[in-house]
Amino acid sequence: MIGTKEIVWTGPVPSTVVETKPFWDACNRGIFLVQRCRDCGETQYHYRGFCCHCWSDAIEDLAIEGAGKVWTFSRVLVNRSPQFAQWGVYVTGVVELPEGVKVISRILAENPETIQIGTPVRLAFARAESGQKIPLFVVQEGAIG
Amino acid sequence: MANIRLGETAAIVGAYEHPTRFAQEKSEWQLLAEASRGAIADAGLSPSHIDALFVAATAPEGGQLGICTSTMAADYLNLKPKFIDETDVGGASLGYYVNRAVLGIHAGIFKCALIAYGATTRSRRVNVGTVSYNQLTGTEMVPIPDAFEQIYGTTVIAFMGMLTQRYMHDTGLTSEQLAHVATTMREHAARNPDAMRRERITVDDVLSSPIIATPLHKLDCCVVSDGAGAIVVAHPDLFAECAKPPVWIRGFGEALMTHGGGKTDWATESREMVARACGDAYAMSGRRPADIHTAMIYDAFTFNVVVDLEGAGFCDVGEGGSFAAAGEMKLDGGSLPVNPDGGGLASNHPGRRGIFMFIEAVRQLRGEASGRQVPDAKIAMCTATGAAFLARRGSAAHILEI
Repeated sequence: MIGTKEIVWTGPVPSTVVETKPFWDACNRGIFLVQRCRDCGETQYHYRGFCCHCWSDAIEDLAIEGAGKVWTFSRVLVNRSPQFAQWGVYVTGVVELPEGVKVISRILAENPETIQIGTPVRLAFARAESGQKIPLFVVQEGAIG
Repeated sequence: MANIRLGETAAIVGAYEHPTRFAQEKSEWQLLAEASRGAIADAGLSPSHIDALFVAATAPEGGQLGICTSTMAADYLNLKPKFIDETDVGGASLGYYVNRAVLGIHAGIFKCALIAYGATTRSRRVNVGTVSYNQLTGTEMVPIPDAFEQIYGTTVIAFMGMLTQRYMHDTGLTSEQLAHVATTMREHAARNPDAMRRERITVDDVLSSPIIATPLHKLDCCVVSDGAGAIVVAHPDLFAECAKPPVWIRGFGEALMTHGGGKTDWATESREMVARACGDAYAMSGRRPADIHTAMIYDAFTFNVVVDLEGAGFCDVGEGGSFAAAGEMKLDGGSLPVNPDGGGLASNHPGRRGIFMFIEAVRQLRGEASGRQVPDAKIAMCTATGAAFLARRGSAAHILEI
């Protein structure tokens, strides 16, 4: 059952720069950060050093609660990159968060064929060999069928 | 007001599509040169007339030309243009060059632009759609935005799959309707002796072809070919020297879409972006969708055609699929013949197909498209959307007239 044991990450690990390091460090504490602007009130993802909506510097971190819904997805049967060789068939998708942003991620499910637009998902983290935690989303138990 | 005059500024006076689809014995540079030579000869001009050069990179699709693209191409071709550009919006780039050529001619900077592209994507066995972007482009993963996206296995076709999935959800588009786009392009390619895939296929063939990334089948995806093409865009001062009647660039537009900080509705915005580009092209030319005799639509995937049909106003939103399934795009009996050459789905697609749309439009408007001529075609539209990475994309639209 997904979620009862640590998920191992076998894909590429993110490169970081000083601007994005707080996001990836937060992942290692089990926190997924979006950002909210104190000037215009909008949220944004991905993580960056300013508000892309109003160009203010007054942004603050906002830890997401962890719930989301599949906004779209694709079950990928062919990826010829060696980096993804261990994945087999996988689902990449866009998850809509109640915090007001859509997030590109990987979606894990016991039965990937049953994933649909609107399927509820929950934030989880996979652990790369380097120790870096990678956020992804898991179809909630009992959410389908 | 200035826009009206832009539509009277310049015309395509030369066009050449390299017949090759597999050129193992040649380099990209050779193909680029052969296509350039062909376009200049078709115009009845000489290389000495060329004072502006626009060349599309190939490196983003695994090729060898990508740094200082136009400068390196000028060196290989031994040209000394006074104006160069290599704006990069993926496969739509070539349309952007047409716009920049018109603007430069309008401004009086130059009079004769060569726009060229050549790539050996097939003979070098590049898996354009089914590898990571970093592997495809031979670049390192950058922290913004790659690290937030590419680690999740977002190939080109996975992205298009996600986009198509959402569009189907929103508009009722079906896989069967998309399959009709593919069968129509094959039907057209059967009449193009240079096309790469000339065998007819059925809707069932498309639907039973392997899934690459849901909901897209192999036959929803364009071919991967080698190829090259070039056009010459000139000031009216040169028309008297030209061998053939000018094909006027009467209107153009371009538009971008982005991720918008995670707010963008990729599906709706993909269509709205096309609508913005086409809207500007219609406004500049004074034409409407009903005036268009034939359309060249960038068909990297069957899905793109549906989005562009709706975005360009050839049908209502949500009706692109039924438009295709009803045969409206067919040379035989369709109300709007689309891609008479077979498009990227069947004729050729080395990576940046934009140039071939202009070449086919020129052939159609000149009445040179023997075997697949749209009768009395006088007004053509080209729409193209190209991608940087995922939904960071740009559209170009053009209205050409003879």
